[in-house]
Amino acid sequence: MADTVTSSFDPHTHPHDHEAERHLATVDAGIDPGHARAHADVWLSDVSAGYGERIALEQVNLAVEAGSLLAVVGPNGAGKSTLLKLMAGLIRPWTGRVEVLGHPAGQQARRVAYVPQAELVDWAFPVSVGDVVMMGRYPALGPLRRPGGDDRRAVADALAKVSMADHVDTQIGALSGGQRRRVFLARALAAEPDLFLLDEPVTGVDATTQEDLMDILEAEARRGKTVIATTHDLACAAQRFQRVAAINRTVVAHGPSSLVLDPNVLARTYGGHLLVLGGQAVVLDDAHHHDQPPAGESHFHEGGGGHPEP
Amino acid sequence: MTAWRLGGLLVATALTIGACAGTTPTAAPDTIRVVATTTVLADLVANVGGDRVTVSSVVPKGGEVHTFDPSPQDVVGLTEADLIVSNGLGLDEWLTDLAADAGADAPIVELGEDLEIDYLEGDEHEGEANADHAVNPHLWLDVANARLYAAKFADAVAAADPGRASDYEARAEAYDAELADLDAWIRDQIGAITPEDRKLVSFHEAFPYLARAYGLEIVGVVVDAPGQDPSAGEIAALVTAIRAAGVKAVFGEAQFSDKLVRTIADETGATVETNLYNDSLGDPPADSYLGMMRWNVERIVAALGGDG
Amino acid sequence: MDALFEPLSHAFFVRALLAAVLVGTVCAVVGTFVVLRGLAFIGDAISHAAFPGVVVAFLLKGPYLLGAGIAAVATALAIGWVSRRARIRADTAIGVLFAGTFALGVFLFSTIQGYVADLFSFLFGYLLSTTVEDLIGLAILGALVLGTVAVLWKELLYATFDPLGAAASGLHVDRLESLFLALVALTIVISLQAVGIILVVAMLVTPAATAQLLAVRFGRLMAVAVVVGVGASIVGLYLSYWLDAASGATIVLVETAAFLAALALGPRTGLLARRRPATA
Repeated sequence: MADTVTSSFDPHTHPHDHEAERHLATVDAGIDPGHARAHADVWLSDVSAGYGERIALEQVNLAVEAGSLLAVVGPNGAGKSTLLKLMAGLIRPWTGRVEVLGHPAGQQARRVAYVPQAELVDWAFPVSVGDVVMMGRYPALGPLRRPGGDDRRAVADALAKVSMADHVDTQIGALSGGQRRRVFLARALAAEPDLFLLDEPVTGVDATTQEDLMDILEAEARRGKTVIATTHDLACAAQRFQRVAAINRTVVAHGPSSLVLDPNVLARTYGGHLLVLGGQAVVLDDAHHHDQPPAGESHFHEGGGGHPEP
Repeated sequence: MTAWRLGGLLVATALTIGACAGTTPTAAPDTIRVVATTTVLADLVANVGGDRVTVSSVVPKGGEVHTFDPSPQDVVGLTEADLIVSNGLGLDEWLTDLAADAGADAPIVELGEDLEIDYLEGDEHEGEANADHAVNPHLWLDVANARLYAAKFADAVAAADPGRASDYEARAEAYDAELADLDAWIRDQIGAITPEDRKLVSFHEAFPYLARAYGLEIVGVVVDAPGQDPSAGEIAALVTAIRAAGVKAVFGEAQFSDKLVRTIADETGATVETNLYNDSLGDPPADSYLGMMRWNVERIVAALGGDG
Repeated sequence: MDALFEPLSHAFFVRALLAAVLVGTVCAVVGTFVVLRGLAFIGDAISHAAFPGVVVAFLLKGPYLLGAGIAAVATALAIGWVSRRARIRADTAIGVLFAGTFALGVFLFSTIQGYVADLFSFLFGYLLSTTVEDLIGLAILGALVLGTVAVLWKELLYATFDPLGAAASGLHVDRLESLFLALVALTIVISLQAVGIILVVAMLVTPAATAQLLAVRFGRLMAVAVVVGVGASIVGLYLSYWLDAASGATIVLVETAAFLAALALGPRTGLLARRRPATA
């Protein structure tokens, strides 16, 4: 698709133009603002949030249509995880409203599956693959009820989808990184949610696992579920996701996934993390810091003012 | 204990230095200040000294003398005393050490030491009386020994306050007569118990001198030393001994919890009497030595069958 | 077999045995979660905090265990609250509350003039003086704790393993944590009579820690913990009878020995494991 930003937008000369940005966020979504809320599975309006005194997100307006397969991209510290946690109802916004599946965030938690970054779990915990996936069924069961035939079937189906059925009795600590990621996705699948929120699901896994996981997510989206995932991998975002939201403390752009290839979107999202080599833009990670770029390079930095040096 | 002694030393040192400024004693003017370790000893002192002495006890009524932890105030009291009275024989050895550490210069009279009596062996304490083996320190529960205690104190206070020596002598004599009456009375009372029934179990090893003097048999004790609870095997052994000897009563003591005593008594069907006083005076009428001994004997007689 | 049956002829021993078995069971079950959540330090803090509760109960002439219970539960909830809110590390907060509450107990204790009737027994337990009333109380409270764990088993497991995921799927993780800490406090109060304040954290932690070395599945782990806890209580009590030693301490030493044995010989960490190639 050829949707692009308005051509007058130039990061070198214009300071932050909030009007234009808001225009970006909703117009490019292809939904007019009034219509957005009614058809959206996830809806954020004028949201700001943070931790303690640190602002992580501000002036976020976003509507995600049901059945979308959305990638959330942005540099480290941009607020991607925060955005996901807001949608999951794990943190409260300072201002604005977050509505998920027609209710305030957190209220429909049973219909939402949140898959955190795998690192935060205790891998020595004495549970098997099957045990972990079954946990996805617990919230629906509630106290006192024991898992039954339906639950076991859901677990088996989920494991089959992620190709981990053979490992049902393996202790999770014995799994490889890619296998662990599959298991957590299986847990989300077993819960049979309407909304998937995945934090870096394909980061740091081998290519095969990446492909398999994306196939599954795509299949869920096709079934009408909404899938929102954060990722560092712009190529994956462009190729495998339908839509993308570019985040840098606020929503920079939201639209079809080809947006990530747009240099202006990249510039506004990645700011000082962008390196242009011979006309090709390359995104650097946050470790990149220096004052004088070498000859032949031009850098974009936030706040305007690149340094085109001879 | 060590921490307390160090603390006591520090406080005492600081206070001794500051004592030159003179902290006001609570004693009436012109009296001898006596500090005794227990309320029992303090009572003996009061009876011999009359209003010529002001006496206080380090271990309060109901306190446990074997495991007592003195406070800074106790240390101050020691340094201001004219005379310190203890039992000795290991019952309150912490006192002599504390007094020495605190630099108290009053003479310490150890009432139980060096008496012309047959000391009984004990396994908890060691005393200078028989330096080669440990003795049981609970002398005063035999009234005859209490008379020796009173006499010893009379000598000591007369030496400290020679001007009134004759007063002390007179009072000591009068008190000695009361003690002699008590002794005879106890003999009668216990004599009235059937010989086979004169057996009991006490909480700790406090009563051997009483038993020897008046013809009772201590079949066993609940704890070897206060603070050391018996093991399961020891309890079982005691229960067996009680049953074998036909002991009718197990006696607890007011300063200890009665749970253990009741457990043992329930097991054997013996009665439980939990208010014997020995290391400390109690509530009236047991708030004097004479009262305490009467109380104990009445309880023992009632439990062991004064009904004949 | 006389060694086995002779102690049983004494009613006090049978009561002590029943009490130790009950305490061992409840401690093993709750202790499994304690160990997996890394709450051993909190367990120790809560048990020491029970001491001022006992002293205050004594001063007010109320039931000791009620005082202990109130103090323990209050401290448990305070620790939970502080860990969630304050800007200081959890272990610092716990350390401060731990020492402070115990010192309060010692302070109050030292002001008591006169009969203190063995508040000391709470420091090391009074297993051998267990009465029938004690047993009934133990059974009721133990059933309450075990029942709560049984009802909320899945939720506790999920919240322990993955608090973020559990919260996101709708479980009230904070409330569960507060409830769990209260259960730990109750367990500790129940166990005070067996081993006392100083050693109760061992009864809570050691059987589950031993089980961790021997089992890989959660359900099996808890079962092994119970076996170790109950077994050590029985063996320890018998040993203390024949060796003339303090019962509570002997039970804890047997549990510790089991732990060391599992460490040395167990399938995962022991000498046997070294000789086999590591399983993937």
